[in-house]
Amino acid sequence: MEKEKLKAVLEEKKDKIYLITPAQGGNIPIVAASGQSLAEAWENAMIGLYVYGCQIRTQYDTKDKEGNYVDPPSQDCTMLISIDSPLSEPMIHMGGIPGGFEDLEEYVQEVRDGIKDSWIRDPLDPEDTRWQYTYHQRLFSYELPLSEYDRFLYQLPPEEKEKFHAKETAHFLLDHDYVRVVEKEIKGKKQTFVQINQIQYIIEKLSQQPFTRQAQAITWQPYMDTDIYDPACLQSMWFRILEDENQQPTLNMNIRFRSRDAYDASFMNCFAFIHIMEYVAQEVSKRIGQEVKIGRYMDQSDSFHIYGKRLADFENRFLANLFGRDFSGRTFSRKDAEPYFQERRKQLKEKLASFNKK
Amino acid sequence: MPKTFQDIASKLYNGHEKAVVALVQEALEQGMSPEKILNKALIVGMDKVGQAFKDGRLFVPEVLMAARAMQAGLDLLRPFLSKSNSARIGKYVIGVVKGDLHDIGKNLVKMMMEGAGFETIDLGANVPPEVFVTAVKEHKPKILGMSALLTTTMPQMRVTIELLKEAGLRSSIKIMVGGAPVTADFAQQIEADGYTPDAATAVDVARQLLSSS
Repeated sequence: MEKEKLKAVLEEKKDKIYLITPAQGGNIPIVAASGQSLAEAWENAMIGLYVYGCQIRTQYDTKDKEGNYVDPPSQDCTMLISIDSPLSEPMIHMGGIPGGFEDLEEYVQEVRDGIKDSWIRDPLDPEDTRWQYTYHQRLFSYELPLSEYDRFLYQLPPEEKEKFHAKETAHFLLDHDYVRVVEKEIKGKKQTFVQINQIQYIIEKLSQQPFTRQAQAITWQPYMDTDIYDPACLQSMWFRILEDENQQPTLNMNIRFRSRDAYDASFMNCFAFIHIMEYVAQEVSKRIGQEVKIGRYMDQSDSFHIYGKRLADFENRFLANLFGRDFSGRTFSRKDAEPYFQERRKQLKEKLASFNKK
Repeated sequence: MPKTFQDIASKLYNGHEKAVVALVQEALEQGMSPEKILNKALIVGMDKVGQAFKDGRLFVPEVLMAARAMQAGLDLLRPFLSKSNSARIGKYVIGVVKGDLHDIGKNLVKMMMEGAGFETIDLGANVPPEVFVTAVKEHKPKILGMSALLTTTMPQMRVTIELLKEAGLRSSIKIMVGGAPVTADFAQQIEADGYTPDAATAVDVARQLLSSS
C-alpha cells in the first residue's frame, strides 16, 4: 500500500525528483531534487533519498552487548538539491525541524551571526568538552597559525613587500580588511594567528567582479579535521552574480557538504544558509548601489543520509504526513513564524549569558 | 465534556494560543472551576497532542505550538489554582549535562512534561553534576531528567547519579535519561530508572515511574 502511494507521489513529482545514478555495481546513488521553495525542494530530496538511496552502516550505529547492530543501516545517497526561489513561501517544512520555530531562529543566529562562537572549547583544557568549532567561526573567522616566514614578510614596509612577486601569499593577504592578525599566549609563549572573514572577502570580491569564480568560503582545516571525531560537515559555499533578463544582478549560491543528517539537520542548514545568502546580497547591494536579488540556491551533499535509528520515525511521521496531509498542512511560512522568532530574539541575550556564566 | 472544554482542547491541539487564552478566560468568567479547566480541557488537549505525536500525525513544531498554547492557558489559571491549593502531578527537574550545549530535545521534553501537568524546573544546558544535586535538595522533585547529545558528555549522567548516591538523595527520586546517543542499555548500566528514546515517550515513562513508586 505504502509502495503504491510512493509510486503515485513519484509520478506526480517526476519533474522534481531524478535518479541520476542508481545504487548498483558498488556505485553510490546520485539523486537530484528541485522545488520552487525550500520546503518543497527539501521534501522532494527526502523522498528521493528514501526511494533511491542505498543502505550503508555508520560509526554511530548502536550495538548490543554482543556487538550486534541494534539500529538498521542508514539510507544514503549523494544528493543535489536546487531551489528556484529560496525566499518564496512557504519556506519552512515542519518535518525538518527537530525543535520549534524559535530554535530555527537561534540556529540562524548561530550560523549567520556567531552568537555561539564563545562556546568553542579551549583546546588546552582537557576538561573543556564544549564545541570544537562553529560554522560561523570557520566562515567568518577562519583561523590559521601564521608562520615565521609570513610574519616576517607581513612586517615589511609596502615597497619591500612589492619585491616579492607571489602576490597570493599571506603577506599580501594580510593587508586586506577581512584579515585579522591575533596574538594568543599558549603555555606562556606568544603565537600569531590570522583570522580570515571569508564572507566579507566574498562580498568585496562580488562587488568588484560579480562574475568571479573565486567567491568561495571553506571550512575544512586538514591539519585539525582529519583526525577528530566530529569534523565539520559543511565544506564550502560559493557565490556568483549574473544579470537577469532585466539587467538586475542576481545572486546564485552553491553549497557543498561532505556528510549530512538529512532528516534532522539538513533543512535547518539550508534555512540558515539562505539567510547568509540574503546577507551577502544586501551587503553587495549597498556596495554597488543597486539591488541584488536572490537567485537559485544549489546544495550538494556527498553523503545525504537518514540514520538507521531514525528510519522508523521517518516512515511513521514524514511519510504518513506526506500521504495524509496536503502541502500547506506540512509547511509554515517564514512570515507566520516571525512572532516565534521575535520571542527567541528577546530571550537569547539572557540565555547566552547564563550559558557563558557556567 | 462541556462544549467549552472541547473547544479549548481543540484550539490547543491546533496550537491557537490566543484562542485558548480567550476561551479559558471566558470559562473562568462563567464560573467554571479552574481545576476542571486544567484537567478536562488543557490536559485532555495536550494528551491528544502527545498521542498524535506518538502516532506520527504531528511534527515537532506543532507539538511545541500546542504546548505554548497550554502554557498560556495555564498562566491564566495559575493564580486560581494556587488559591485552591490544587496540587500538580509533581515536580520534574530537567537539564542538559555538563559540557553539552544542545538543548532542543530537553526543551521539547520540558514542554511535554508541563503539558502533562508536571511542575518543571529547568536547569538549562551545560549543568554540572553538583548543580543537579543542589536542585534535587532544594526542589525535592519526584523525577530528575538528564539529557545529552554527545557521546563525550554522556558519562556526566553517571557522575551525577553517583553524586546523588553520595548525598543520600538517590532513593528519594526517579531518574530519567535521554538524548541521541543514549540507549536503554546505557541507562541500565548507570542505574537510571527510566530511558526515553524521544520526547514523545517521555511523559509515558514519567507516568510509569510515578505509578511504580
